[in-house]
Amino acid sequence: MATFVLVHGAWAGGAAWAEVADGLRARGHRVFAPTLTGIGERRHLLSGTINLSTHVQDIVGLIDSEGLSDVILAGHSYGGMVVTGVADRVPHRIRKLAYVDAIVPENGQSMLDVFGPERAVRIMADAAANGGTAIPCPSPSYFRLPPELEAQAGYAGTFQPLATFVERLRLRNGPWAGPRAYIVAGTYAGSIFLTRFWPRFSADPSWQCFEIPCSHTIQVEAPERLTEVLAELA
Amino acid sequence: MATYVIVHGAWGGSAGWTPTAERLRAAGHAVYTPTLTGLGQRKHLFSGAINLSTHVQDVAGVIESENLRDFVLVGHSYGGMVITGVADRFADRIRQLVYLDAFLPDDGTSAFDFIGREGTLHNIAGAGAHGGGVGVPPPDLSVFNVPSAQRALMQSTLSPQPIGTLIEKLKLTGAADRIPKRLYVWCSGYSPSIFTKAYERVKNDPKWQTEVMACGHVMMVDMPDRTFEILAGVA
Repeated sequence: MATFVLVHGAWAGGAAWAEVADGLRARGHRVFAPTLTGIGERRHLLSGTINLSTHVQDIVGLIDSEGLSDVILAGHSYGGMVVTGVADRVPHRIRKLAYVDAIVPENGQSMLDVFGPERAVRIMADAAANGGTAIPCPSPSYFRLPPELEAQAGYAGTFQPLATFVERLRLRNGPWAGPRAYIVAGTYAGSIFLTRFWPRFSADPSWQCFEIPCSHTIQVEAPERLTEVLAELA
Repeated sequence: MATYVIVHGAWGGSAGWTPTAERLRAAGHAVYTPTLTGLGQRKHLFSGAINLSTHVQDVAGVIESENLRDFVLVGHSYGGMVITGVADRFADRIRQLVYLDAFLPDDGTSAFDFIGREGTLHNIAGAGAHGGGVGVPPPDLSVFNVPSAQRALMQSTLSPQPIGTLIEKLKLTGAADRIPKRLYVWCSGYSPSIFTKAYERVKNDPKWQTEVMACGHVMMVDMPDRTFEILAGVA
């Protein structure tokens, strides 16, 4: 029996993990799927003061309050930024990091640094049209999610607090050197996950690597397969 | 199989309910234990802008995002304020209400209305002296007769309660009257208790079931087996 903490991506919420959480619990594991401040079920808390540090503390607070240790910490998409920060803050509590079609930042990078200047400028324009502090969710076609699954993913009508994309991640302990896994969405063609992260990590034996043939929102599109893969990491 | 939403009380977080939640899950139920903003694992979000409406929306957000229906809504202590506000908005989705040694507010009342004049002044003085005017410091858990073996550890996890959550008065439409079942659990093992009046009010009311637990206020720590049995028994 292992303890999983599942961290959702931008514009989403903990509810997106519902099927995976149920599947892991049915296999006897403990599962926590918190929602990051200002998004999903916590969208009523949206404000310009929420930054990446807030989201890292959301998860550190969970781990501290519940007294969790030996955690398998999974992050989806932007959640890769968050879990990288969490592992730096409480490395002794973490057994393994699992990046689920997720960003793997280098020390000192922000989400916008990872995206690069062209996309950063576009995101700034989107935020400018929304009070300057929140980024509207891209159209559903951006994630290539089947329309019947959109409601479960929870992207519609949500805003990502801008500073969560702008704040740079400062790692006190340097890059995570412990056990780690990368799970890539195999048919999200052209994504930075497939083009940038996957070629590096799938050739590196220090990473456990899995490819799941679906688009970006794996926990909603292929929950059974993702449950199997996560259980295999335990 | 039933679905439970369990709302914790003031000054603490949801972690105290995790063992109960895991036992209910092991029995086949789905359980959600949201943490109210500014408390417990979310104490880094503390601010003077948090009020009772924030906490009601914290729970409403879970219900909406997880699309919960036909669930048992449970509130402990101050959580009774929160679940009453939630029940007013989601009456048709709630199978049963469970108040665990909890506030049972009417329309237009706040937690301070139940705490009374002296208690309110004491809390406000604490907020003024130690909480920057916006945070009510935690009480000494001995007043709730928390078992001494667990008291120091539990005391160390408490943090200030946003004052607006205790001052804001609930606005209710009365929609929760439609909820078919309601249970009040009163803890008789400490005195004085600000929840005695609520229990006295409902114990002879045919719309209510009641239970008495001979323990202190924090029943899931004091009598975890009985707490689990009562909750599992309403499914």
